[in-house]
Amino acid sequence: MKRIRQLLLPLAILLAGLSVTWLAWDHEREVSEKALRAQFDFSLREAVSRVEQRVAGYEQILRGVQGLFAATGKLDRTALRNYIAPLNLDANYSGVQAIGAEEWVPAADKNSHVAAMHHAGFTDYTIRPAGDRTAYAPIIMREPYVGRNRTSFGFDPWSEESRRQTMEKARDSGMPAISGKVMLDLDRESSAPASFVMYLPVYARGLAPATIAERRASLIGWVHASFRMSDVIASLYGEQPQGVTYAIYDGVELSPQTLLYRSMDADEAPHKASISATEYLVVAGHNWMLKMDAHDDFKARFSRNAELQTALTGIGLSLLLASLAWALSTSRRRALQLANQMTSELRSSEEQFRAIADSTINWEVWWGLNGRPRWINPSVFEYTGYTVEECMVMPDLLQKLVHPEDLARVVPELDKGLQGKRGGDLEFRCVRKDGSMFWLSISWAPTHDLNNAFTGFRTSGRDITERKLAEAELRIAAVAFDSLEGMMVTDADSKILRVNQAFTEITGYSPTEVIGKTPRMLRSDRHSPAFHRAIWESVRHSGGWQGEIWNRRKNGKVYPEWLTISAVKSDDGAVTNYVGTHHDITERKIAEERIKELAFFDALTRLPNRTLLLDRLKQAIASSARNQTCSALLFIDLDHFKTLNDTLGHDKGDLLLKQVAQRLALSVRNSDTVSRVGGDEFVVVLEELHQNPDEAAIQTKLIGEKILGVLDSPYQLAEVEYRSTASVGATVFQGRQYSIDELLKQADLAMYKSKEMGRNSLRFFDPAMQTAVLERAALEAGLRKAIDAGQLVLHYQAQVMLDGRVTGAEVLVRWQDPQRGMVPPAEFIPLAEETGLILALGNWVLHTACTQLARWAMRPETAHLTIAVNVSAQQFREADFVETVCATLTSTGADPRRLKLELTESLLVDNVEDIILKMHALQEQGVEFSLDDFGIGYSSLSYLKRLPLNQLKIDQSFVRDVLVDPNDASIAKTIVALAQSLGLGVIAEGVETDAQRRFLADAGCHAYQGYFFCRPLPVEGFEKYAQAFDSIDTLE
Amino acid sequence: MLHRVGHEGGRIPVISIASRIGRGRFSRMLRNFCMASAGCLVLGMSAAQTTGPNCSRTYSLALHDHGLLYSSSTDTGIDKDFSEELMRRSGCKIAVSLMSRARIWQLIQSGGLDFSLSGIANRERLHFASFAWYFSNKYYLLVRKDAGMRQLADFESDNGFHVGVIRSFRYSRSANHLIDKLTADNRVIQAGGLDPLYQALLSNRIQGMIMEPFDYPVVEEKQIRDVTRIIEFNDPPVPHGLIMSNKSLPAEEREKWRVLVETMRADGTVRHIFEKYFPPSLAASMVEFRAEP
Repeated sequence: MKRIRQLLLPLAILLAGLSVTWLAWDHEREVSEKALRAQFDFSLREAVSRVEQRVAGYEQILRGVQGLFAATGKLDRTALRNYIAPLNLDANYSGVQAIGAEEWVPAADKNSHVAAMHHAGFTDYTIRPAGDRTAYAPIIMREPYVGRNRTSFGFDPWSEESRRQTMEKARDSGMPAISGKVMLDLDRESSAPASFVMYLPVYARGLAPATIAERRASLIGWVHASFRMSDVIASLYGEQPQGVTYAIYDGVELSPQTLLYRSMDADEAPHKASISATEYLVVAGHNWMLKMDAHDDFKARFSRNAELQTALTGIGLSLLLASLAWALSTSRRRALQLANQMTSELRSSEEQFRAIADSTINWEVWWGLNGRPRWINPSVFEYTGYTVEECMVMPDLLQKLVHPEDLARVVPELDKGLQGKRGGDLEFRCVRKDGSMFWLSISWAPTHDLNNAFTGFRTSGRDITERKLAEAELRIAAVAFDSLEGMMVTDADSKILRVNQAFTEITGYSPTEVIGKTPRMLRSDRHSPAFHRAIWESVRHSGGWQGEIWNRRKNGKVYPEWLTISAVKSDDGAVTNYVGTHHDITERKIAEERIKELAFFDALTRLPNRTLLLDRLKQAIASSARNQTCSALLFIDLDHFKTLNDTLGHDKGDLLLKQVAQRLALSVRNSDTVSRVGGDEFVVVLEELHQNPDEAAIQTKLIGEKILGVLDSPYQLAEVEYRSTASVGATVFQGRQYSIDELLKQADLAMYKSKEMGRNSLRFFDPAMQTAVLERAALEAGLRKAIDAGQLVLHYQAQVMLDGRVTGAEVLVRWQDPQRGMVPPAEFIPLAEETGLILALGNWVLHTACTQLARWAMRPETAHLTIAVNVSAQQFREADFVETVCATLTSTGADPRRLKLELTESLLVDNVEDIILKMHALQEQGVEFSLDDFGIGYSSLSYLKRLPLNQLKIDQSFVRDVLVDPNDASIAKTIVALAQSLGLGVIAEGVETDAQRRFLADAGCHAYQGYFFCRPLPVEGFEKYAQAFDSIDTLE
Repeated sequence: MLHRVGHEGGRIPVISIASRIGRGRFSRMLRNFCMASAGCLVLGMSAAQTTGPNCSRTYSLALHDHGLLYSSSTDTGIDKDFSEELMRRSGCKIAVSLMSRARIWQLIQSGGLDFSLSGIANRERLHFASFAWYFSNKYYLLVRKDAGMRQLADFESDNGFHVGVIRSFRYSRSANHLIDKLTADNRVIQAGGLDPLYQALLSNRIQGMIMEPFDYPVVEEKQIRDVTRIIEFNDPPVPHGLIMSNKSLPAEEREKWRVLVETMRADGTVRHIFEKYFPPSLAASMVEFRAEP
């Protein structure tokens, strides 16, 4: 398509050019023809004109002669001669053969005429042809009298028809007349040239006849001139016109008879005339026909002949323009072709190499002397992802493609190539277009052109990534081989080829001892042949096997190992080697045991843990059911273990536990189970006791007491000697009497009972215990409900001062259970403490007390009253205790300064710092603290100094016996003194008598609380009391 | 409305004919206008004419042999009578000679001949000659019956049709067109006089020739009339007149001679001459023409 379009313009130009050329040629041809025609016409006209004029000239001659005769009236020969001679007819008037005259001789005058002629000297003159006619007009003179003209006169033209007509015409018109083609008389030969005669009449002297009749009458004769046509024509032109032939015919007919003259060339003119024309001449009233033909000569001479030139020029120009246009339109393509041709020539020497290079899978680069690539083979795309074009336009190919770390190594080597040196085996990494990497190994050699001039060098590269990877893998394998696992490589027949260091370490065999042998040598007896067969079956079938196997070391020791066998197959799937790796799993096995142990054994004592115990218990029940034997369950709880932990520390506690465990383990039979189920709780399962429950009980009791005795001995806990006791609870069962849980509960209860009974004793489970437990549980639930249901109520015990003025009250919680009635605090407070309900309880108490404070604050008479709230250690140890108190104060709106928190000494055992912080925090609010039960607990006097207390409460135990027991009195006094010296307030609890009061007052204690003053009362009662006391006071 | 003027004169190269026509028309119009005004003047002055042409020398006038216009064999013709009348009227001596038409035009152009007669004007001729019209006629094509031509268009198309003309003759427009076309096709035979053309026509060397009314007598001869047919050219009549050489005669002399001719026309002398040769109606049609072409 493009080619066609390219052709269109030149084609159009060619067509246009050819059209113009044709037009020009045609025009030129026309013009040429017309010019030729014109030239021909000119020649024709010229010829005609010459002939006419020549004849007119002849007429003039004859007129002269006519005039000559007319002047004398006589046809005088001498006069004619004299007239003709100077004319020099030959030269001037060539063509005139002769000029002569005829005398008109009527018949009558014939004889006289002849006689006159004879007389004149022409003795043999006769009128020819002889004969009688009516008239004669014989020629009587002829000049110039030379040559043929000397032919004798006497010829009578009047006798000849055509002449006669001519003579008649001349006579009648008085004008010259020419005859047709005649043969002159003087030409006697048959081949006489064509001739004609011109006649002019001569009339009698002096007469100018005007009519025909007159002319005829006055005629005396004629003068005539005779011409040879050839001479006439010859005299016309100095030279023949080129290229034309002409012929003159007499009349209008073209025939050989009428031919007067033909130009000489016409004889040998066989070729057709190109132009011919005919013209009729009227000469002296006579018609001649001039036929002129132009031949090739004429055309050649006169023709412009330009049409051929025009055509050729035009065609040439058209072709030229067309080819120019074509050349222009295809110039680019041809230029490219030319360039291609040139470059192909230029690279002819390299083509051979290229052909090879292109077909290789190697990556070939030809570098020029400037260090830039001249040519890159297409393999570059497969290698690097860059196309040839992209590579050629890169500013620095090496930098782009060679890995940066290898670049420093590669560039100097390639520089050697630039210097014309060969090289190879340069391995380096290359970076692909997508960033991935491959290894390339190149060699290089210098290149030369045809003249052996050094033109650069070429590099040929192979991708050796796989080889490098293989090398890396070999290295890895070599390293891996030297792993901690024992590795063994055998051939396909299981002959050992290679073993590593670890193998030697594990098995004890050195490589030389095993190479060539099979792994059989490692076998132990632990496994059956079937086991080994199965292994190899698996290897053959699935290419590998993994598992635990017991092998034998060189020293004979059997050890467990974890063995992995893999079959190594070649590319065609045939097994070439077996690789076995194993590691000694002895340690692992031990570890497994340990784990198992841990799962089932107590870490510290190594005794079965609860999980294992349950399992053993289950087995015991089952065995008991099976054998109908009784079994027993013993719960052993170390007494005061917690105290030991707190006082001596946990490490000692652990030592104790361990030793207890040891002692217990020794105290039971093999079939029995000793387990540790808790911090200081141990459970023993006695199996295969007597079938009789009672007997079994006795057996149990014996064993239990034995245990107690064992446990009672002193323990050596590091540097400390310790004595500990235990509480044991036992339950006997047979078969599946009870479930495991029930059994456990029973033993547990029994143990608790034992504790209650004073510890260091054994108690058997009593169903009655259950009841107590149940009751306890019920109570607990009831208490829980009570807190929420408002069954709790605060009783206020007045705290009085000096004279009995009520300063405030201590609140004591009472539980008004609808079913049980009033539950004494001694029952539910400990329960609350044990169950953690004390927190909710304490909070309720605090909240209620604060609410009451807020209420009292609104009445002036009660606004001064304080409330002392007991705070349990559990409560106080709560992390948010301070926030709880503050929140309660805020929400109730109670005045913090009216609130007193009573702490017990048991609180102070642990984490005193925290306690101090909390106390300070609350004290800042205005809350006061008093230390309850002071003197009976573990109170350390140093605490008193550190704790931000406000008041000490003398325990009622001291107050009760203050009058009786001097010790108590002293103590009470001391406490008071202490308080005073420390700046603390002091209040005595349990003041029941006035005497006590007085004593205390003397001691310095002026605040009292007790039945003497007021029992704990509901708020209404208290308020009444408070007011009454006031009123009484006022009364006094 | 343009009055077409036939061309009579030498052979005109075909190439330049196109350019000539335009020029001819304009100058012709100009000339016609001048002539009209001059003619009016002349007519106005004709009554008071006192001076005639200068007769100090003998003038030359050439006749050519052309049918009724002049026959050399009988030495009679319209033109001869006209020339004698001219002589008589002007009182000048005029030497009458006989020449071929071609030669007459040559000498008129060169100034070697003062007068000739019955010439028609064309642009080329007007350069060297002046005219005084005294008659007009149409042109006809005398054609052999057996040529099979019926219309003028046939002659152009038939390649075998040859026509004969007298050298240097021009005719009316269509006739000129035909002759020119046939000339280009090399189908025209020229002659110095009418007689060979008649001969040629009779012997079927040519199949046609242009003729004018004063050729009638010859044409009427039985030989010719039997074998021929006359076809009229569809052109208006072409005026013919006294040819005066610009070179030999000064302009005022030419004007005098023109006045003379006008006088001859006006007083019926021309018509009288024509009536000697033609039937009165034909004579009238030839002589009565618009004064200014």
